[in-house]
Amino acid sequence: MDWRRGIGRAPATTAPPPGGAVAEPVEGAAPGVAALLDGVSEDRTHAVLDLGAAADVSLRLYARFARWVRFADLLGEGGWARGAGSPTGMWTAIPPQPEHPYDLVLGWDVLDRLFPEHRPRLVERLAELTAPGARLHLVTRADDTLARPLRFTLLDVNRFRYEPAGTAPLPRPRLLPAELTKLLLPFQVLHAFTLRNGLREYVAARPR
Amino acid sequence: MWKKDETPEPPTFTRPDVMPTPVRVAPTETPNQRATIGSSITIRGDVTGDEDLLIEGRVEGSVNLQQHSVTVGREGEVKANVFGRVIAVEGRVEGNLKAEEQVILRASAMVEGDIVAPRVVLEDGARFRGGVDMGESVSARGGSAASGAAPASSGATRPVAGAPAQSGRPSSPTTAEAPARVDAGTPREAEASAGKTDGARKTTEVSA
Repeated sequence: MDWRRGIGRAPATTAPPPGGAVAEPVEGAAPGVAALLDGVSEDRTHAVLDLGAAADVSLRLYARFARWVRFADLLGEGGWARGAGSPTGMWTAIPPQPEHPYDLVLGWDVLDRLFPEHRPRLVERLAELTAPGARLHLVTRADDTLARPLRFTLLDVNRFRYEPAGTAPLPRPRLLPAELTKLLLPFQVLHAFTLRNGLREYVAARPR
Repeated sequence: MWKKDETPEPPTFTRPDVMPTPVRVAPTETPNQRATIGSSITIRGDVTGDEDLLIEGRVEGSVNLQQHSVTVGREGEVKANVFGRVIAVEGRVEGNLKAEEQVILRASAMVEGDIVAPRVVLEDGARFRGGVDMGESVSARGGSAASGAAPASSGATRPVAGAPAQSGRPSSPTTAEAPARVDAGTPREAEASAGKTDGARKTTEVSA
């Protein structure tokens, strides 16, 4: 399978024009996801942590690579609030995978949703739960046009769908790339993809 | 009416020395036969049996029908670990689900717990927070992969002896597949790439 086929290519899209508001589900390219999964063996020896909502299409995709999949739904109804407030809450919201450390983490826009003081705790927790070499995928707002939380569903190795998830405004100010890079340590940002819809994807990895 | 010489001899009974062991009568193999826990019923304890079960009431404890199907109906509320051959959930479950064949979360399902099953289906609308272990694949048992089966649909093979999944915690689960991608760039380069905005070296502008 050609894992790189979506990178840098302008695919067919239903995305709104730049600056457009998201009012209904939108499908679009996810070159960051493609980079995340690039070269990952399809031997079902991996463990995936998805901090978003569970979806069958995502589960099927993960099942190509992973035996263990956890949907923490940290962003869902009440989920992120419960997980973000305290170290104990974060532990409860993202339990460890006893048999295997997570090596693929999809955080979606979780950092955008968390208050700034809670963001380092999440990264710390992810570092605890992953092994060196683990990869992390995140989405942030590239500008202020998307000021509402989104729910993401992975449709393929290079496509995702997102839709509004609640009306609560996201904490401000938005994360800037340099801040994110510093925040993610010990994860190191390897790739950043700026999408035309006001989103930016990041792929980071824990050094070996 | 009866001829004397045709009168059958009365049967002889032997009195056993001990009471016979009660025979557990299995239900007939009628496809639709199943027991029901009605919506007004609350059970606290362990539920076991030899027939399929529909739960429309409340169960707290455990449900163990390993050879049979367990359905948690729309009105059902289960706070228990559930073991069954096939488990279908339409209501609410707080507990782990372990199925020999398949777990199906219907659109109305709300499940918080871990799932262990070779096949897992999450219908659109189902809300699930927890882990999925798809290790016991159908193919591993000599069966064939079925459509709709999340883990078995990729044709993936089971990890061989010594592979990460069986050896416990691999130190580098993605090492062999893509070392260049994960290790690409020094931390300084990675920081620089993400620190810049759209014009960064590794930042790719794509539409989505």
